[in-house]
This record gives sequence, structure tokens and C-alpha cells, in this order.
Amino acid sequence: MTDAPTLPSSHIDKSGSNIKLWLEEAIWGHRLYDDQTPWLAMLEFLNVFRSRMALGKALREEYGPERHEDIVYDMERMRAVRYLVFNNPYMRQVEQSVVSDGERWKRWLEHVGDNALKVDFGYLKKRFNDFSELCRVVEFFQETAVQVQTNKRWTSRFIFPYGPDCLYADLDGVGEMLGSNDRRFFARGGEILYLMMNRSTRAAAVADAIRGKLLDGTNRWNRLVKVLLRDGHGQQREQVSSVKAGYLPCIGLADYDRLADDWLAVLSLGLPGQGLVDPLVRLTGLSVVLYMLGRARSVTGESEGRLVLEIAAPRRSPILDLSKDNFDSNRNAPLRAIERRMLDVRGMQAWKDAVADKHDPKQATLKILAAEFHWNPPQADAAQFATPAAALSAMEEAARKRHGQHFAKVLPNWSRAIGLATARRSVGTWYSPSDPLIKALVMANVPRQEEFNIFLAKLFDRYGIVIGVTEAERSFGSLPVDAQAFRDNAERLEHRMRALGLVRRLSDDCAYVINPFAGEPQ
Amino acid sequence: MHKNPLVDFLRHYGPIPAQDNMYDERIHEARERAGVAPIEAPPMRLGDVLGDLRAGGPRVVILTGTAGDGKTFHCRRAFEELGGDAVEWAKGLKLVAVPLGDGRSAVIAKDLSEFTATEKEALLPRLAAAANGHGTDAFLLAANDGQLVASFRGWAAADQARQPLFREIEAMLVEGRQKSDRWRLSMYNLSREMHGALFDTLAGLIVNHPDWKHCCGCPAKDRCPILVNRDRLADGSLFRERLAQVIDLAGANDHHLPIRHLLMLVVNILLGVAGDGKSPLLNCKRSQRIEPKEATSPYSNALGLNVPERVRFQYQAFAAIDAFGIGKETSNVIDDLLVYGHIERKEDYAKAVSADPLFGEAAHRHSRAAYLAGDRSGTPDFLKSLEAQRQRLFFTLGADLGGLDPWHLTVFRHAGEYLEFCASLREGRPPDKWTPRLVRGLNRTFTGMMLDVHADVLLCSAGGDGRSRVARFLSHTLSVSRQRRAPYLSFDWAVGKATPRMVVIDPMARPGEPSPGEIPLRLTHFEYLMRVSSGSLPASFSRQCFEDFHDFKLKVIDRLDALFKDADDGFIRLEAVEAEASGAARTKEFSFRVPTDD
Repeated sequence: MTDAPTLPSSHIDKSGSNIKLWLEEAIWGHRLYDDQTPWLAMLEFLNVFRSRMALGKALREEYGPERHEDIVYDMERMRAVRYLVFNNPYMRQVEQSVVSDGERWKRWLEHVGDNALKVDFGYLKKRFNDFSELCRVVEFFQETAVQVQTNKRWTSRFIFPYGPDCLYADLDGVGEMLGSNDRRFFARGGEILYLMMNRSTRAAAVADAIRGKLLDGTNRWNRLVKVLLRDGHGQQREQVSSVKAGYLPCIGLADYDRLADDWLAVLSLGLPGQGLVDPLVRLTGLSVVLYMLGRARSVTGESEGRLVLEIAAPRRSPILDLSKDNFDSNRNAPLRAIERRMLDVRGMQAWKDAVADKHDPKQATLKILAAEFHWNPPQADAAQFATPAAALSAMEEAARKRHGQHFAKVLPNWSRAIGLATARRSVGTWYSPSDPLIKALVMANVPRQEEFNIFLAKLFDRYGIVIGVTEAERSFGSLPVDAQAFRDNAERLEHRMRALGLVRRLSDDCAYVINPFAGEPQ
Repeated sequence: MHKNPLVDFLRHYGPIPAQDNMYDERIHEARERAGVAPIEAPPMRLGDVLGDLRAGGPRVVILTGTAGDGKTFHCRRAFEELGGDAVEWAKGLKLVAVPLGDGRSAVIAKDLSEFTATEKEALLPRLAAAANGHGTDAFLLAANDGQLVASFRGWAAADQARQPLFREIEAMLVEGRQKSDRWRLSMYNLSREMHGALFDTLAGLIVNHPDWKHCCGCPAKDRCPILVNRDRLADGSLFRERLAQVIDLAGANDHHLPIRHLLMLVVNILLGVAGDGKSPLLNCKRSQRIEPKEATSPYSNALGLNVPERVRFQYQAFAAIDAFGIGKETSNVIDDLLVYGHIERKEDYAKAVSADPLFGEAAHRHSRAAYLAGDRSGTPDFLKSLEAQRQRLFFTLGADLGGLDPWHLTVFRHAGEYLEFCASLREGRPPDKWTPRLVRGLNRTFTGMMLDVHADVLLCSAGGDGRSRVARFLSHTLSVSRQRRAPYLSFDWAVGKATPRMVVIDPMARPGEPSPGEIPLRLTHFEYLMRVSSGSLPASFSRQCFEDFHDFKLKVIDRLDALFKDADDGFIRLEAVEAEASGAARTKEFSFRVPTDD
């Protein structure tokens, strides 16, 4: 089945009611989930990193051929800060309706006095010269908060990660402590990223780069958050503690190194760390998309994948239709993989033996399904399965349903979120890159300047991206669509990149992609 | 029928579909058949090349560019100037050597594309050795830019140690650098010269070609459209001067026109004829049958209007000129002159329109009369005529009509100022006339607020990912006048480059350290800043400029943040910028004590 060696998942507590089937998890890890967007995965990752960094273990986690990493981490709650920024509607009203500073404090403290967190916000009076200063600071964090599409509860809204003190857990909002660690939005996607980077060959370098560029406590905006913190912040009870990280099956994959290399390239650029987060989110999302497709192919045995990108054209080009087919095929790859896994069970000797069992074939086969897939249907249901085949069918049914509810949405959601895929009514969804994604790809792949065709080749070599005719020939063998359509596609990309200031054409046979943030040559 | 063989020959330079790689042969054969004297532009980089070769010690001089811009010609002339024998050159050897007199030789490879892969394998290491300072010979290599990088990339792929030299060559090409700091290497890109002067020279060579004498005795001589156009392109004409300016400005916008494209332009101006369906160029036969009229107007020909639209912009010269939108833009003053001037501003009108009996008054009169009489059926014709008149005016408006700026007839309204700005910088004079407006434009771009601040540059951050429109928090302030200790913003003409640049100078930097930031000021960037300064919204005129300046701001902030870290005294200080009604910037300071960690 899978060719890459995998680690045991014994450290995962599968006894809880949440894990009804261990199918996608065995292939891709525990876990990737549709409600967790790439940005939320990034935030979760930074939380894990920061916690381990405090112990000096960031991306230095031990693991072996038979031993999965054993990672336990903490996350802050930051109750006061997030209340001030995301659950504080009276502040502006008070500032506008009351004139005297003393009166403003009094009125506002009255409003928030009875808050469910049982926090006394009086300490803020000492921190700020006047009430409007507090308003400006809170507004700053509101205006720059991480934007997410869905209307989230306020305890699932996040300030921009300027530094280590801006990070906190997702909480379900219940009670004085704002609830417990909720697995809907921090669904362990960040843990998977952490494990991937830990297993890359350049893990140590990545850790240093992250520490230096993204989690620098001296960053002024990071220090600004501290001004909002209560005295006594940092105490143990304020944290979500001892969270055990999830599971990543494969020990070593090229995907891990690609992810690490992209991060290293971007973190070395001459931009402030906060300007690097968005490109990193997109590139990380791309790596995860490719990882998912790659693992699916390992299971099903399908040949090399590709991403056919159509560059926006004034008229519908044949590349768009090709890209649409490509997207649809990719979208269903995980489903094909889990179907294949379940199908393979039938070929197992143990299964055949269980079916042929003289005493209780149903019981025997159910045992196999429990062992392989952790499927334990309730007693009442089990009684209804007339034959082993019926039981397997029921499991397959349950698996498909479960897959459709969440996992199946990850690929299309993530592809859209990072600007890789575009959706249009009456056309559908296909791969068409957005400007920020194009810029992120340049930031990660062009050290200073690179000839345009070499750049296209690099995109193909590293990500399987097909835009121009040369890569199309390498990927398809014989072209499914007229060669001129691919040439036009590449030309449109060049024009688009010129408008973004990323390409200079020197002559008829020479165009160069320029990375605007490249460091000076050594 | 009278025929001038020169005309037939010139047609070969024109925009007639032809195989590009047959170009040189075609021209050569045609010239021989016509018995016409050759048109040779002077080799503009000859002095530099010879200077480098003779300078002593091993070195490599690379001549690069695109097809037909005179690389081979430069090589031949260099060979001759160094004392080489013309017979030797005529043998057509790929590699020729000529002694330099001090025991060294100059080895010339006149076209890298002639070398086979094996021959390149032998040649490139010799070049690398010389660039590294080994041996004594100096090398002159001519190669198209694409060929050059492809060959060195292939050579460098075999050995990691070769990569730095390859990357240097690549960087010199892209950045337009002429001299390498680390290697004994210089590079001259003939495509990237300021070609306005070259255009003027070529036009002169063609217009003054001795073989025009063959027109004597032609019965149609007095009303020949070709000769009329030739007359318009005479030495010293404003038409030619303005064309040269346009070509220089296109170059300043990264739209370079090598020699072959300039020749095409000249020939098209002379021989172009629109609308006939057959050929876009005149020959003697057709010329004798028609009168000079709008269809043969040299001003329309300059824009390539005689070439069918679907192929017009495949010719780089027309694409470059089209980018200016000549005739598409206008001002009230000029249009008023064209529509009502014959009634209301008779003197100016006489100078601008009636003074040109062929392409001015005659062409314009009828459709205008119909329009003014209230006849709307002819409006499309009138608009076309108006556009043609604007195009003509662009090329002919001179100082005598002081109130009318020809650049207002183009997209780059401030191009005239840009030319002065460039001249000022080239001559080392401070650009004080433009700095306040440029800085105001910068501040509006950097902050997203309608500020009227022109003495300092406000580098403001937005927080978050830094991409929001309005940036309020002042990270650093840069003065625009020279400082002794603090970094400041300056405009200068980068050495060995073709465009002015805006650069942040750190007076305390060690020599050799890169500057905190620089950005070339192409025509588009200059226009962008001027427009934003006069009220345009930052993202509307040019997305590319907006992104370029935005990236520049982020880079500079990053570098200055590293140089000027926040004091670690337990306080955070922020300055928020607000725009007052007058446009002045008011900063509000906040300082907060950061609670110490528990």
C-alpha cells in the first residue's frame, strides 16, 4: 500500500468518542480538518512552536524509526486582551458620548465591570495617559486582526501574530476562564505542520529563522500587547496546559523538506517579519495541498500529479477546462485513497480467514475492522449486520459519509484560501493563481533574479505546477491541448508579473523574474 | 517610369513581414543589387571597448544586446582599430586574435551563437580564467543576451565553483551594470543605450543619403509624398527632435529599441501609406500616382497607423510609441485651439494648423466645419481627424506656442519635466525644482493620506501584514536634504545606468555596505508621483508603481529598523500621523510603560 515508512500512532488516545474511525488519520495524520483554515493552522503552529521554544526544544523533538515524537505543549489564554479587542463594544461609544477623561474611565469600567471573566480592568488606568490612548491601541489590534471569512464567536478571533506574546489558544467561550481548548479551529493542523518541520532535514535552521524573524519578543507591536496584559498574567492557571500533539504518519517525505526550504527562503528576505506571515501561510497551504495529493497517490498507486494553472484571460481558454478537470480529479483523490484502503482489506489474509471462520465470522471480521480502522459500531448496529460483507459495507458507508462531512472539504477550501484556486458561478472551480500567491512563489523561489523560463521550470520541479508549454510537455507527454494555448498562458503570466513589478523583459529572448525583497549578494 | 533604387532598398528595412534571422542577408543582398551605399551607424561603445581591451592585464569585455544592434559591427571596428587586417576579418573566423602591442593579444569572438557546444566548452574556461586574472590576453565576446546567459548557465551547471561568475554575469545583465567589482569583467548592453541620439543619427544618414540624387528628373518630384516626408525629417526639425525624446523616454521606461527597430521607424515614416490594402509602404510607382495627403502623413506613420492593427504592435517601435498614447490624451487648451481656434485664436491657429498646408488645415477643415454646423453624422470622422491633428501637434508644437505643452497630448503629461529632471541629475545639479512634488507624492503613497508634506519623507507602517491602504504609524522620518549623521533621501543618476534613481543614503555606513534602499525612477514612476502629488489616488494610475513604491517602503523600514532599534528602556513609543485640514501632518505621540514579566 504505502511506500513511505510510517510511525506507530499508539500515543494517540483513540478511546474518546471523537475518533469513530481511524482512516484518513492513518494516511495523512491526526489531523487536517476543514474548519481550520491555513491561517488558523499557522496560528496553531506558532503556539506549539513558542511553547516548545521556551523549553529549548523547538523543532528538536526526538523521534525514531519506531517512535513517534512525544510532544506536550501549553498555550496562553490571554483573556483580558482578547476581551478588550474583540468583546468590547462600549469602548468607542463611551469615547464618543462622554467628554471628560475621568468620566470616560468611570463609565466604561462600569460597563465592563460585571464581565463574565471576573477581570477587573482598573489596571488599565495606570497604563495609559488617557482613555483615548487605550482606544487607539485597542483599535490598532482590531484593525489588524487576522481576517477570517466565517462569523466566529469572539473567543475564536485572533490578533495579528506580531510576536510570541500575541499568541493564544482557541477557546469555546464557556465560563470565567473562557472555556477549554476547542478542537474546531485549532484542529491540530498546526501540530501537523510542526511535526513536518521537525522531520525536515533543515529543522534546526528553520527554528532559528522563526525565532529571529517571527517570534522576536522585542518587536514593538508585540511589546504593545503586553501593555494590555493584567498584572499577574503568566500564572500557570491562566494557561491551557499539557496539550498532547497529534500524529504524522510518514517519517521522511520530500514534502517536509519543501515546506522547510520555502520557510527558510522567505524568512531570509529583507522584510519585517509581519510582512512575511501572509506569504508563508500561502506557501504552507500549497505544501499541505501537495502533501495530501501525494499521500493519496501513494495509496492508490496513481501516477505523478500536477497542478495545471490557468492565468486569467479575457476569453475562456482551453487551459481553463483542462485546469477544471485537474482540480476535480485532485479534489476526489483523498476519497479514492480511502476507498482503496478499505478495498485492500478484502485482500488481506487475516480478513479471508475471518470470513471463513467457523464459529462467528461476523465477530471475527468486526475484530479485524476494529484493529485496522478502529471501527466499533454500537452493539445494536452490529447485530443488524447479516454477513461480514454487510458489515464492511456499513463501514464503507460510514467512512464515506464522515469523509464528505469534513475531510473532503479540506483540499478545495485550502486551495481557494491560499489563492491557488478560483471559483466562478456557471464555470465552477479551477486552478488560477491570485496576485499574492504569485508574489509568494517568487519570494520563495527566486534568490535575486531568475530567467523566466527557468522560474517556470522550478515551479514545476518543486510543486508540479504546469503553466507553459515546456512543463506541459514534461508533465503530459503528449499535449492534451494546443501548444499555443500553453504559450499564451505563460505570456499572460509574464504580463501579469510585469504589472506586479516582478518581471523585466530585457529583449525578445530574455525576461527575468526579480525578487523585490532579495538580500544583497554576499 | 522613373525609379530611385534607394527607395526600393529602404523598403527592406520597413515593417514588411519577413524572417528575422534572414534580416542581415536580406539587407546585404538588397543593397548590393540596388548598388546603394551602405547605412552604417557609428559604433557608440567603441571607445569604451578599446579602452578596456588596452587597459592592461587579462580581462573580459562582453558586448551584449539583441539581434541587429551592432555587436558584430563593433567587433569588426575594434579589430580594425587595434590594427587587425581586413582580409583576416573577411575570412569569417569564429575567433580572431590581434596583438595589443605590449605582448598581449586581444581575442575576439564576434558571435557566441556561431560556436558549437564543444567549442563553447573550450572557450568559456578561457574567459573565466581571464576574468579571474589569469593569463595576459584580453577577450572581447559578443552575444545576444539570451544566448549569453544560456551558455554560461550551461557551463556553470557542470561545476558549483563556476556558479558565482555566471550569477555575476546574470546580475550585471539584469541590473544594467557595466563593471564588475569582483572580476576583471565589463559588459556593454547595446540594446540598453539611450537611443534618441542614435535615432537622430540614423535618420540623418537616411535623409541625407547621397542616392536621393537619383530622384532628379522624376516628373512627380514636386508632389512626391516620399520627398515631402523626407523634408519633414530634415536635420534640426522639431519632428525629429521630439521623436528622439520619445525614444529616450521609452528607454527610460524599459522599452528599448535597438538599431534595427529604429531603422524600421525611420523608413516607415518616410514611406508609410495607410488604407490601401496592398502594402503599408510606398514605392516609386505608387508614389507617382498619389498626392501627399492624410494617408501618407509622416506623423501618422510615426505611430504605425499605416500598418494593420492586428500586426502593428508586433513591431516594438510602434508598441513603445503607443505606450505614450499620443493623441489619445489632450488638454482643453489644445482641443479648443483645434475646434475653435480658427475663430477665436487666429494667430496661434495660424502657427499651429494653417502653417501646415498638407497635413494641417487641409486635412482638418471639412470635418470640423460639418461638426461646427451641427451635423452629427460626421462625428466619427471628426474625432479621427481631431486625433490625427493632436498627433501632428505633438510632433510639431514648438516654443513659439508657449502655452501649449506637447506632452499634455500623451499619457505622460510630465514627460517634459522628466527630461529636464534627468538632464539636471546627469549634469550633477540638485533637482530642487521637482523634489517637493516627488516627496509629496511619496508621502501620500506611503501613508495613504492626503498630506501636503514635502520636506521630509514619512515612512509609515500599517501594522498587520503591511498591505493596507492607510499606514499611520511613523517608523522613520527621512529628510530630503543632505544630512551628516541621519539617513536621508536623495535623487541621483546611478553610475553606469540609464535611469535616475531614488536612494536612501546612510552617511554613517561603512564603505561598500549596500544602501538601506533604492529604486530606479523610470518615467512611469516619475509620472506616478507627480500625479499623486496633484491629487490622483495612489492605486489608480499605475498598479506596478504602487507595488514598487510599497515594496521599497517595506524594505527601507526593515533596514532602518535593524539600524535603529527601539530603546530597551521599558517604554514603547509610537507616533501616529494624522492629516490636518491644511494637509500638514500632525503626529501624536504615545508612550507606554511595558510591564515587566512576572
